[in-house]
Amino acid sequence: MKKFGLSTLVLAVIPFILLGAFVSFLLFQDLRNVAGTEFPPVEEIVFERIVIQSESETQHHLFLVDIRNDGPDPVTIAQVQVDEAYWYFTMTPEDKVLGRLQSGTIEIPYHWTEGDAYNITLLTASGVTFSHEISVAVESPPMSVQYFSFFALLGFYVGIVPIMIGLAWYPSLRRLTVSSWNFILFLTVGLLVFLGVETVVEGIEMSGGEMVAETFHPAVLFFIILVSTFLLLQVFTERGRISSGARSESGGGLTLAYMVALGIGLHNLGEGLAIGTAYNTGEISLGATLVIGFALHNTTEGLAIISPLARQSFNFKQLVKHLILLGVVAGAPTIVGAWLGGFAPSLLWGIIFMAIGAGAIFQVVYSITAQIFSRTENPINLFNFTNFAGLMLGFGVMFGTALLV
Amino acid sequence: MKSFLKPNSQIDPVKPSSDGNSRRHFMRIFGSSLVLGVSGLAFSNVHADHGASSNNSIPKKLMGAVGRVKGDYPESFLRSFYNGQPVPADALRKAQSEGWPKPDVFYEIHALDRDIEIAPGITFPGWTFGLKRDGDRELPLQGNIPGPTLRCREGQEILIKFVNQGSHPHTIHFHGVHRYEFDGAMPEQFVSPGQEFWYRFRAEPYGLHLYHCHSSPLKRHIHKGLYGVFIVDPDPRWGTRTPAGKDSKGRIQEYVMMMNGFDTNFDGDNEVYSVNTAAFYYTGDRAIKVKKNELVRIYLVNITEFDPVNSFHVHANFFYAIRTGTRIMTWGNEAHMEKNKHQFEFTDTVMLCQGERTIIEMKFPHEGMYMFHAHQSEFAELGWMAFFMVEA
Repeated sequence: MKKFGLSTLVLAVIPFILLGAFVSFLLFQDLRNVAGTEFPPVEEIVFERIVIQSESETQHHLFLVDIRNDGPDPVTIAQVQVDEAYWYFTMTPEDKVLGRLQSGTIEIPYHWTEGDAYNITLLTASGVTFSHEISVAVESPPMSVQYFSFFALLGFYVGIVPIMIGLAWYPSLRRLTVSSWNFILFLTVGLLVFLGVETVVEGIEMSGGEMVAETFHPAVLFFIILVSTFLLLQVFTERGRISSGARSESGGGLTLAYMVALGIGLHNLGEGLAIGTAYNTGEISLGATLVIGFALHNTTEGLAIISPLARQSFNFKQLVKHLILLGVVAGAPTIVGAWLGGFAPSLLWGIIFMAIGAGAIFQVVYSITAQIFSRTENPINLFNFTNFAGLMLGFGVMFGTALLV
Repeated sequence: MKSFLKPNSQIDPVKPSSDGNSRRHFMRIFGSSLVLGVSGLAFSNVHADHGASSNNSIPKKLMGAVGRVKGDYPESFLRSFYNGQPVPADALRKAQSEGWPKPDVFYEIHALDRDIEIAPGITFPGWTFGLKRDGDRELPLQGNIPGPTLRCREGQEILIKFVNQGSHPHTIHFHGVHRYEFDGAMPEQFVSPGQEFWYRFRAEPYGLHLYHCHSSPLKRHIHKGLYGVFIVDPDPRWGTRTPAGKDSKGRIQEYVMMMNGFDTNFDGDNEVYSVNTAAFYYTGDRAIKVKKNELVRIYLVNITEFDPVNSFHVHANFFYAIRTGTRIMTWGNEAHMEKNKHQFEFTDTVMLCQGERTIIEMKFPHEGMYMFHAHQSEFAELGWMAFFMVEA
């Protein structure tokens, strides 16, 4: 094998130099001249966030609109219409010109009415229009202690408490026979597959939404992050198993439980983000039904977390410690997600969290399945009606509780 | 409303003064600013249903476009009437060789592609008519929307040389009475880019008419900007219109107003409405200044594409509407004006379909700023909103 020396490096750099020269040539030549005609500028604007404020001591009723130039050419925002009427506005940057992928904020003083729908249309200097529909005008919650504590409480109710309740199945799980444990594990797989598919669908929906710049290729990004999360967690799991060696018999279940908790936690982060964002943009009102729905849904997640632990033995103190930790790992991200959603960052972050969550969930599905198969002497025996029923029950429980949300 | 003012007036009437009492500051400023500010309030009240808190605050900024249209074409268009130019030798030769009567009035009109600022910061790739010469004066020949207002007297022989310098086949189709060959409407009458064509007719009947391109697709050729006003003054044997008054600068108070709209994103719906192209143009310091109790005559033509009708409404006053301008109204004593009311529409709002037009005659009895706009609120808020400033 040849040594990777300086000459190799120089040779490897040559294509880069050639590419640089070629790009400069293209820039210098300007293809528009070659085509013999002026291409009309391509203008693309995405609305990334709308904040709706009502009057205060310092502030009038207003819409704050975050936009991003998603096209190749600079775009100048010339005028703003609200519901087909030209309206006063100010904009940062002040020159109202957005370069490629540059974002800007438009402030529109407007006496909006709660619950009404509004259409905001931007006109560029060439008269191209970009519209965004505020389906239900609701004041965006101000970033106050009250807001944070509200979402902390909400996250606590829909995240931590139900998962903890689910964890309380632990003592009964311990008494299960091997076949009923398998039933529970397949039920868990069913739960997780449902969650995973749901996460993928939500992520794709977010990617296809009009509030993400297409330039970022959100759907592709989603899949790449999903796959790399899966593989990365796989690497960690395998490494952990190898290094723990002989202790794997006792430690494997716990690791798996934490993996499940982490996967569910990431899913819940995305879910919290979605709740926070939707609440902020007035797309949902958080009624009791919704909270109860989420709570029931998430209780099943608790069961999923502990099912790998059924054959594990702990002393009481250890057990309580692990159960609380597992609950926090899986549930607390809901709170964090809701907080982040409150800042309503670009939806892109939501997509990224969803992708990580989906990758983690599928990795856990793989791990649990692998664990079941490796414990069973003749895996063909696993294909029985009990296990099938477990899997179906998993889907069914998730489907049923999801109907409440 | 504030934005009407902001770019246009030197003083900002609704900006809080140093003592922070914007309401008092408000009252100190007289004239345009005050009235505009109050009308701004009226608009704010429309939206003030959100809560009690809104009742005690004057909105600082409200509806309207942001910024100021750079050119002043709407100002010059408003008062410009073109009576033709000396008939050049080639036109005389053309008339002779065709056996046409010797022309009394001659115009050379070009079709030109030109970008037009239709609202502050918004440019529209227009197709325009431009006039080569006015009397002995050479004009810049750059084309505008609307095209030049052509004005002549009933019975005059009109000859027009049309040169198409645009990128599409165009025509000039005149409203009025003329022979088929000069109707400019059939495909064989389309004038290709680089070509020219002669239109000849006798100016009749008297009234307020218009001209526009009649190429296909018609919708596109009209809404791109190929239109203008054609006024035929009555033959004196029918009588004469009462001379309009003069404003403080001694200018005759006769105004041309063409209600138009622009579909900037080509979705078959106008994004901008206006009178004489530029949205919100005659506002703030660009309000049309007229003199109290002096006759104002408006030549109002609707060319708005895509919408079935447009309308004209003036605040705090009534006017006589002389449909198509095909009758003559004379102003006289009180008894005479009472009689006029039986002959002419006396109203404050008039509705016109596309191509319909009316002469509006009125006097303002009170000083101040008076809005006039389409009474379709949508059009008004999309730019067809203007002001008369009535001075003592």
